Amino acid sequence: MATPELKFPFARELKEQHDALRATVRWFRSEVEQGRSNGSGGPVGDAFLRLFHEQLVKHFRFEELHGFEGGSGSNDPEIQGWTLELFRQHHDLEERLGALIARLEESGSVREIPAPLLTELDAFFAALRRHDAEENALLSWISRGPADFARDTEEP
Amino acid sequence: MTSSAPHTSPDRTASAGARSACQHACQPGPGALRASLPDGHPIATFLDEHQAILACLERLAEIAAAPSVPERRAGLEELARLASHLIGVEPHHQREEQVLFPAMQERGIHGPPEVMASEHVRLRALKHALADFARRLLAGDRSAWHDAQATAEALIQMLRAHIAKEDGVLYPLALQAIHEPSVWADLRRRCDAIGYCCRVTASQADGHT
Repeated sequence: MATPELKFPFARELKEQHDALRATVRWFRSEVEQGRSNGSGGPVGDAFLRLFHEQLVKHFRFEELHGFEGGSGSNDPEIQGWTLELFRQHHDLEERLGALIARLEESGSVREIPAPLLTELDAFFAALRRHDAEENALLSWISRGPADFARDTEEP
Repeated sequence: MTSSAPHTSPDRTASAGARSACQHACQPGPGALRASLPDGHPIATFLDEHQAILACLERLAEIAAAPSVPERRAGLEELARLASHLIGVEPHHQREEQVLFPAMQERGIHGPPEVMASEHVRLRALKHALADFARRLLAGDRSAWHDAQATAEALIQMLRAHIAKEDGVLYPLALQAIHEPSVWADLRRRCDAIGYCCRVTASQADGHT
């Protein structure tokens, strides 16, 4: 996801974090897809997932600490409401991944992820991508300012 | 969406809506709700437009899931058209926000319209983001594919859920709350003034075509 140009001091770091996480998610998804076709998890083992979980949690806390480009303290209730909803999604996502890692460890197969867990992992990454897309749309809105949406009409 | 049904005046529309108002909450889905309403009723038009939007989302999902580069390339222009079309359903949102929601709020129903209006804002932001990525793709920026795909997936999920809530909860609530045929007739006139989308027009809905 190409994070829009931002105005605040932490924007550069936020962009770098997003770029790194997005690249990792793409790699994970490709590995998961390969693992599903091979019937094994391949290199997507618990160590990688634990590291990813750790980085993801740090990233979420970073966004929350910095108020997401002023979104959490915005005077616009729509921006503020959406920002807080995205923060709620942070907690759901990190708990979901934590639970998946715990189940993987319980399964005793930490290097080759069992097929049912692979399916759930794939669904998790899809949810993370959707969350990322929502964040991106919100950042675009915050950085560009409100558009006159009422002028939008259907193309002939 | 064109209807072959005979002409239905706003008054008839309104009275039919009022007659069946109590039934709507018990009906199992939007199909049954739509069948209970005459063409041209404001809620019938919203439901028809939702069906057209859902068809658009189905096609968008197919394009976003394209597995190979040639298939993705082949779908780019349609992706841009679909994004533009989804942005263009603005009259649907405007009719809800300016006509239906205030009428419900006047009758003490505040929560559901506020939540739906808030979702409109998020949907608008996602639709515009998708259109931006589609423009970049058409300009030759291949790196925008993953962004466009993720945005399409987020938009599809949010918009489908939004439509399910409106069809299943909001519209039945409106039909329960607004009984007066004259009010529905007035709402219809105000909807006409804003306009329609998805090829659904007032005259088509009434069978005037």
